[in-house]
Amino acid sequence: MKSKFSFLYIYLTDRCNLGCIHCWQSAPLEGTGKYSSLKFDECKEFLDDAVAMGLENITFSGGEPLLNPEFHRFVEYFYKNSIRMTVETNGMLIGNKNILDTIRKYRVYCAVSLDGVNPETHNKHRGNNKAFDRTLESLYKLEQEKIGFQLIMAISKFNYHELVSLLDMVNEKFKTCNAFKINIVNTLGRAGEMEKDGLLFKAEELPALSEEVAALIGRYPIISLHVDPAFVDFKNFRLKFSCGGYCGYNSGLSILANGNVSICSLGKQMDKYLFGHISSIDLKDVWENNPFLEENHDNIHSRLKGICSNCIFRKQCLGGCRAEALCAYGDFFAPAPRCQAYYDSGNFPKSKLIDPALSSHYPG
Amino acid sequence: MTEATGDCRIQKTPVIIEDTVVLVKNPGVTVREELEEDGKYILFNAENELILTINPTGKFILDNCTGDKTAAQIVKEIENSFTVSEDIDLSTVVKNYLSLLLEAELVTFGEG
Repeated sequence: MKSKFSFLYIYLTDRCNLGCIHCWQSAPLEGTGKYSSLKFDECKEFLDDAVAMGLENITFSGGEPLLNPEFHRFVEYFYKNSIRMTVETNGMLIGNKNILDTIRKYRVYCAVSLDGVNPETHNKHRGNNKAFDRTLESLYKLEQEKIGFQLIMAISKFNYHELVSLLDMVNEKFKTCNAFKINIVNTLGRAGEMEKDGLLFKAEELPALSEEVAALIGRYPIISLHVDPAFVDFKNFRLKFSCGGYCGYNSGLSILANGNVSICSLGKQMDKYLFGHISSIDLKDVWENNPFLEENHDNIHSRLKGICSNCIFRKQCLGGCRAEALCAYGDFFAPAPRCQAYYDSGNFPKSKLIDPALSSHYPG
Repeated sequence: MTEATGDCRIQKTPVIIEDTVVLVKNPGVTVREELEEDGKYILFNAENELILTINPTGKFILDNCTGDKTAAQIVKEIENSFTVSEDIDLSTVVKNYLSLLLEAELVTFGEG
């Protein structure tokens, strides 16, 4: 059965007002590089097609999506069409009255990045010495307005030690924060430099990390961990977790800031994963007939290679972030790099292998 | 007796299990881990790639789906092996559970 189209990831702009040291997209800073922003009128027809095809959810991302001057028009459109909206934002601009009014009026769910409890930590991670104060100010406004929101903490060895104190602060100050997602910084984009400095978690460290997070869930029930399930012990399955970077490409597509349609921001780097421009693309035709999507929508789990081909989670995880696998190995069906490293080091649990006797090295 | 793990869900369906029904454990179902703390077992079904947890009583029932016992005989096995409260309609409980195992494709109909 053909996968149902229900989701759009919309990169409203690739412009950003922060210079995060871990930005996986290496988004250009304001005024320092060329950037694109989506224009609502150019998107309208494409969005009408998406709504007609059963669109249910959209996520705005960027760059910093709130920098798109037409944010209001996009939001109003989706609200009128009863589409659930999430905006992934660094929170710097939520305090702006117009933006806050838009978020409140059109019920946009905010997923705000906050990487530390100490201003210096967050500011250094975010590359801006005013970031912490501005983001906190925005969060206080959301709290004041009783608007529910999610916090996202991108963790590395640089800031992990602040996780519990940050959770304590959130518990104390932000009653409207109803979800706290922990993302593990991966090697994409600018985070490559962090890897050189030894700041990123290695595969073999992830099981202990997931164990520690699982132990916190009683005290902080709002937490979830974005990590491949292979790193979570069965006994910790009560922990809310999801696959590292799993993009959900079999339920939706992405619109890049320049108007190109792709499976995800991977389309920025590789033309092969672009399906055309919103101004000319027939969404229904692409979704139903594009050879790449046709071939992979429903059975990618059976085409994955290396450890992913022999992992009992492959049907749920679908190999995690395909962009990460592509960047590491140059192959869309390559294994999730951290899972492969875990297997190659001899630590991957046999109980999580479909066939424990089968060699799962990559390349084979 | 079972609960979903990860993204997996068991959908309850009204499959009626008669006393004479014979079920056999799917050969693709293997125990992957025993959780010592709460006594549960992690099962993996290679056919549909579902991951499930099951408690010791559930595992006892599953292990008794050997293809040569009827549902009524499995109920008897439980009566003989566990202390069962008098106010429980064991036959109905076990047959409903067998129905769930069937729906989760952990067992299939045997020859009988």
